[in-house]
Amino acid sequence: MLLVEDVTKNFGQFNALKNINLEFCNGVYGLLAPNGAGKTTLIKMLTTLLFPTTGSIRYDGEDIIKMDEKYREIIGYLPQEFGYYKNYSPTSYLLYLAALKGIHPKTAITRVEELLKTVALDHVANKKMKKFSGGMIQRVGIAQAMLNDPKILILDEPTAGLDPKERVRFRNLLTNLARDRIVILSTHIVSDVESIANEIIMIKNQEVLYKDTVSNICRNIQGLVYETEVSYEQTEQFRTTYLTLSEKQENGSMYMRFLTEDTAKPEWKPVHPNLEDVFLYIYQDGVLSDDQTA
Amino acid sequence: MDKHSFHVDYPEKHEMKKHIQSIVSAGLTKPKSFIQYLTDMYQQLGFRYLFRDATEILFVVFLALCVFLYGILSLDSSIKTNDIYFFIFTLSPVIYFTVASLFLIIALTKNTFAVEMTCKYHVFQLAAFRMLIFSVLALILNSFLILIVSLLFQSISVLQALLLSCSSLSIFSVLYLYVLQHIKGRYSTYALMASWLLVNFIPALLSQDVYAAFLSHVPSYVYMVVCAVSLALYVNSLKKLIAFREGVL
Repeated sequence: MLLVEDVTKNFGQFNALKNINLEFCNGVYGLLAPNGAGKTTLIKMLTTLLFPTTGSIRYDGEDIIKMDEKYREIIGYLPQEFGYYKNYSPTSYLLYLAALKGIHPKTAITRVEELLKTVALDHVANKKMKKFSGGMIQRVGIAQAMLNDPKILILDEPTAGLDPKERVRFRNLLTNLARDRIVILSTHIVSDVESIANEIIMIKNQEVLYKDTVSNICRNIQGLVYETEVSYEQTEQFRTTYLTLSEKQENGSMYMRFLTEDTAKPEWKPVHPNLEDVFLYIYQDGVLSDDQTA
Repeated sequence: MDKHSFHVDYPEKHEMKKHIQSIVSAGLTKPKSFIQYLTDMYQQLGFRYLFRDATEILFVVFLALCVFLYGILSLDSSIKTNDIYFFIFTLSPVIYFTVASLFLIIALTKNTFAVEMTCKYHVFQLAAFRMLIFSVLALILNSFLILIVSLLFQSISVLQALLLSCSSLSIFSVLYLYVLQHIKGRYSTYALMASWLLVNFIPALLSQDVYAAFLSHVPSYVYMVVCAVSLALYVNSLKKLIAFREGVL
């Protein structure tokens, strides 16, 4: 079990995270928050790339910083910006990382072949990576994170650059892996985690706002989400009055999905909230400010 | 009441000691010695992965060697012996600095850094091993250059020149590792090299004769002591570099 206890991280005067308390058992955890909320800082602390200013992170009761290489031996990490050597092939790069991870060369050769098949890169196993697309590089990144068959798999924005088919394949892979390990998946793309995460962690104002199942989190806005048809002329007025969650143009009018605490009007159709609705509701200040700056 | 006496088969004292010892050694893992650590790392990674960029390193070393050889061959034959000592002392760390800094800065600034730092053997552990090799390499190349100089200028004492070069290289290496671990910033080691050159050239510019005479008149045993102390400090700093992590991102 991985335990984050009262963790605070400051960068000089800037407070990135405060009083974070989390508990991870085997399963998929989706770390969901907008960019700049502190997801990567938390991930970097979980991988010991950063140390907490106060508090501690323990794995099976032992402080992960004190565990040092013993901890690094059991983690797999895909950073947000996965770097590679352009003149290396996936095989040579993975063998290099396997050596750094302390994997025996013979075991590494078999493992690399196996992983390249898993991420569907076996046909380009010996091609130089400089010619690879973003999605292919990301798949090399996913493969390297799994090299040592880690007990804790930490993935920061892993689906960036993957096409829809690859995303589905990746989600299925994670679901399988999570049976006997901790998988922590940081993303700002709701669909990446909605269907596979056992629990979602949402961070707001440097603190953990929710750590719960998708259905429990959605329950927080139950009865507040509606859909309705609005004429084009009324669209602007509608947007300023209600928090619109999505819009669709159809048959000469606009179908709006929105959230409000007002008493429902007869033409409004109540709908079940989803995780994206919660996300937009919680981070609406951020959304607004993003729109304003755009 | 009938008392039953039970016989407990206690182990002998030496047997108890043996068992305690085996429990303690299984529970407490002994920290590896520096040499053991480096040997294990070499066995796991081998030359191939420790010097992944061997071609680039050799190219840079070759270039540096060419520049130095050109400099030596262009020296005026009327140059004073003391001035040669001054140049040896000031320029001895340059090859070490070039190779150590260039490739470490590349490793620190590449996107591969985050992944490599979360591996069992991370960037700084590799750097510690490489720097040890680089310092030996720099020592050999400096000695080779000194031999060339001694062939051209027979007035210099090879032993004195070698001691001067070793002292300079070892002092600089210790300072280099200190700066690397204590002063944040991508270019802190470059600032150290610039400061080293300034600190040596400024007194030489103010009074070249006095500074060069000072360097050449320090007794050999002082240089030997400086080398020995610096070497101990250097190994100690390399050990610290192996455990160095926080504050690099």
